[in-house]
Amino acid sequence: MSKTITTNVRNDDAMGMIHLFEFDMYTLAGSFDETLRFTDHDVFVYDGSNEYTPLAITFDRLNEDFTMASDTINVTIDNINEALTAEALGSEWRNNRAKITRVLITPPAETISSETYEFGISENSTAAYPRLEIAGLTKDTYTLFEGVIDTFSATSQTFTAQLTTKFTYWQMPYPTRTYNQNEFTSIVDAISEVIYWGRQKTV
Amino acid sequence: MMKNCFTITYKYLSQKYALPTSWRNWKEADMDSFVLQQKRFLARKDHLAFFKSFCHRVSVGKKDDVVLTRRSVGVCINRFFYWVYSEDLGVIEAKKLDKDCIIMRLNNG
Repeated sequence: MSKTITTNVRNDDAMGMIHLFEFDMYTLAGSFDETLRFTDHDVFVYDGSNEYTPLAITFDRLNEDFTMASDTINVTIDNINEALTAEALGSEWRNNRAKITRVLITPPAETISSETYEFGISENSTAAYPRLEIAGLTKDTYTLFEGVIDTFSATSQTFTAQLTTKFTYWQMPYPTRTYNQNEFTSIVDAISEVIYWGRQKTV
Repeated sequence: MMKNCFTITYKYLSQKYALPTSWRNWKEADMDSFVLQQKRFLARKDHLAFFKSFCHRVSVGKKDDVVLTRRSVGVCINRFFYWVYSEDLGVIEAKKLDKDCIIMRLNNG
């Protein structure tokens, strides 16, 4: 995953930053249903193949450390009159792919009432409604975070999902009690009953 | 053609789907009457009756469904948003679907 930011989007310090969010949804039976796509931009965003719906969506600070320990991100999304709650209850979110992509763009020129502005509001729609098409723009794109959806909660106004990295899968084959230190003494005692200095205890 | 939310919606949908070209005493050629007599049409809920004549109501929207409110006619973008022509601003706006929206799907859509 490259996070190199080139200088090609930095033109006279005019730079736009948008985020694209993807959440894979599965049916409750376990088969893939669809990918929900959102953006924190003001209008719809189209990357040439997928369209991202503009929503009030925020995420808290993202940390990475040297050990690649499991990070978590809390993403808060406008619940759109509880439409996301209905979606969440009718589908399976948990343990499915979640991705946050950061896109840095040079806002394209825009003409308003015969006045041309060098950097517009980044709306260049070929759709009937306002839509930003980023496929042809000068931009840098990199994956900010890719992981899985852990838990979610919702109010009538907002929908909050907690995302974790894929390393969470590493723990999955092991039962939780493997890590329960309260049981450690009894486990050692059980082993000591049958093992003595590396061989089976016979006496 | 004069513009309001109905005429813009009708024009958009008619390019993709077969819509009725006449309804009661109205004909497609009289499109401007929908703008000139907009308040009367809305008060009589003609916009609801017109779309009800060739659409059926659905609970979850999808692209190109018709979205009706008491004062406007728009088109669904996806299950979360619809677009509608704003007479006040003279531009098309994207709005969130809410519980007051009536979503209609074209019978041939």
